[in-house]
Parts: sequence; structure tokens; C-alpha cells
Amino acid sequence: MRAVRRAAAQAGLALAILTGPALACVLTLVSPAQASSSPVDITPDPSAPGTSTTFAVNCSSLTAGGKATSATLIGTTLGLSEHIPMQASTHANEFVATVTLPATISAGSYQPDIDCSNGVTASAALTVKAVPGVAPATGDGTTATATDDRLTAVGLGLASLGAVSGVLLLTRRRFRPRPRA
Amino acid sequence: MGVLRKLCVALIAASMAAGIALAFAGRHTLRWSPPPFPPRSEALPAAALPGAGLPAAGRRGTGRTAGAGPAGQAANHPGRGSYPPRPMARSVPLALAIPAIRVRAKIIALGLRPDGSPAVPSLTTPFVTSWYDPGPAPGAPGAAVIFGHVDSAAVGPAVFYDLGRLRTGDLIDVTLADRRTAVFRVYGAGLYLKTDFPSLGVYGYTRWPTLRLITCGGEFDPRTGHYLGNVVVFAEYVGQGR
Repeated sequence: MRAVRRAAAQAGLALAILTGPALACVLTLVSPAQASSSPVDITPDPSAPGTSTTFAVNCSSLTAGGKATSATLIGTTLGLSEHIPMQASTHANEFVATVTLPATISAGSYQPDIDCSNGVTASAALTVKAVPGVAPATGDGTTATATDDRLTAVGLGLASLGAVSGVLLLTRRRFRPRPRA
Repeated sequence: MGVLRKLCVALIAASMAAGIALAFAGRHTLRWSPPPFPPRSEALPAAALPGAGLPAAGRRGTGRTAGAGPAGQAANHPGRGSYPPRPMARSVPLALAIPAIRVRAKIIALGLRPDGSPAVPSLTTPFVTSWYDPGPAPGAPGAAVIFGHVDSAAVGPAVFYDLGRLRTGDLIDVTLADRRTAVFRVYGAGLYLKTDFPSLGVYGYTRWPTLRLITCGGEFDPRTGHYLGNVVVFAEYVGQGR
């Protein structure tokens, strides 16, 4: 579709060169508008996979003259449908579309085109940045697993104290009669 | 003499029994109770949905524009404080204060690890928190994310041990490098399985400035050395502090 349009533009340019300077002037002025990416505002920028992203385009152009009545976002490079109709905004000649980027889109730069009905084609410059896909590791489990070693130490101390005194008591009883005999 | 000896034997036997019981208890009781986590009622199921996790525009409209003024003020005569505060310009966060759980902590800026997980402060500095610096700053549009440890062998309970106690309405102050303070109000808190971590709800863009505080929680798996879940607290920007 775009190839056809580009071919048509090239044919038009050739025709312009042949037919006269007036028409050529119009067409050469149109081409800078096509190359420019500034008439498109993207929110958020950078965006993230799976999040909703808003494209706002200003279809005004010194050369295309006429007011645009509609605009279409070409979503194929983003893995979306080819023609995404944009809604007219409160500003004249401005159109807005909010799309949800596929969760599988890879990080990088994308340049989806936007076609205005008045003939202006704008190229959006979208940066997609991945969000961390792995949950953070914040803790070593001390409070969930650490047993109370102080309690164990006190218990072991008490038990060994009892054992030692028990041994002493028993041995004293056994040896006490001897000095008397 | 015989009575005394019997008494001694009884005392020794009792102390040994008590000692063994204590030693056993010490091996089987936790020195700290496991970290708290928010109840299901505080969780945001929508946090798992793409682009969600932000206070709804309607909520902000009704909550602030109509209800923010003094009681009895006519609805058609809004005061200066009736408008939502303007988001702040990006500035690196330096310190965090959460009076509800008595937390005051330094914030360091960290990015991603090679395995795709966010870097967190060393376990040897368990009272330092980290801000995910590839993302937005607190107070700027979007979701700012701050991590803190729940516990560490060096100290036991760490900086975000009590994070799971935060409830809707609690306030969080973040001091920025430009000496301003961004104030946030909690609007949700949840415990999420790490295998089901709501990445988009946490990191996804929000038009209004939001903040997420994250630590570990849920059951601990000693074999892997990791908790099975994360506690996530969701907060929204309410304005600048003094």
C-alpha cells in the first residue's frame, strides 16, 4: 500500500519535472513534511511492552494546505493492525490514537507512519524500553528461618549444669564412706 | 540427709529437663516472626493488567476537586487547594521516610542486573533502599520504583520488614536531590508470587506520578534461598512537602 503510494509520489515528481515548475514546487515542499517526525507526540516516551501508548499527530502542513478530516496510524511495524483510525482531538488538525503495545514487542526504536487525509505522512519515533522481567531478590530469609540460638544455648547450658552436678552428687555419695573406714 | 539428697536429685533432674526443653524450643521457634504481608482486601487485582495500577482519573477528580476543599464549601466555588498538585520535574531521590512504620532510609540509584532483575542494595547495607533509575523519578509522571530488603542475616529485620503493614492512606515522603519532598499516599498493597509478578502494573506508565515500594515476602524457600513472593505497595503523588 505504502509502496504504491511512494511509487505514485515518484511518478508525480517525474510528472512535475516534465509539466512545469509550479507543480514541482508544490511536490518538493511536500517531501520535507513527509520526512519530518516532529509533528507526532508520543506518550509515554519511552514506552514499554504491554502498556498503552498515545500517538498525537498534527496534520497541519504549510504545503498540503487543506484541513485533514481523518488520520490513520499504520500499526504493522508495532505488531498491531495495519490501519488504526485516529480520533480528532480538540485542537484543529490534530488526531489522537491510544494503542496497547503487544506484550511481546522487543525493546528498540520503531517508526510507524501516520497518514493524514490531506496527504501528509508523518513518521512517529517510538522508543520501546523493556521493564524488568524478573522480580527483585530483597532478603535472605533470616526472619523467616532463623531459629533462636540464644534460647538453645541457655537450654544446653542448663542441661549440662544439671548433668555435671548430678555426676558430682553421685560420685560424692560413692566416695564419702571411704575416709571413715 | 536423705531428704536433702533427694531434693538435690530432683532439682538436678528438673534443671536438665528444663534445659533440654529450652534447647529444643530454641531449635524450633523463630527468633523473629516472619515478615507481615498485606491482606487480600488491600491488593489491587488490576495491578496485573497492562497500563493499570494508576489511580483512576475519576477517583482523582472526585477525591481532589470536589472533596479537597474545606467542609461546607460550595462545590461551585473551589479554593486554591482544590486542584491536583502539578507533577514535579525529574530529580534523583535521596531519602525516604514512612512515619507509619518508622522508616527513614537513604536511597541509592541502581539499574538492572544482567539476568533482567532490578539491582538491589547489598545485604551488608540492609537499611539502604534503591531507586530503579531507568524509570521515572518520584514526583514525575510515571511509576517510580523503590526496593528495600525485608531481612538480612547481619541484622534480622531490615529496612522494609514492616512494609506489609502499610495500608491505604498511609503517607510516604521522598526527599529529592533538589531539596524538594514529594509526598505520596498509599492506595493499595499486595503480596504477589514472584512467578506472577505484576511487572506492568508496577513499572507501567501512569499519567499521574505514582510510587511503588517493593520488598520480598510470603513463604521462604530455604533450598533456593529466596522468598516466593513480593510485597508491593502502590502510592500516588499528593503534592510537595515543606
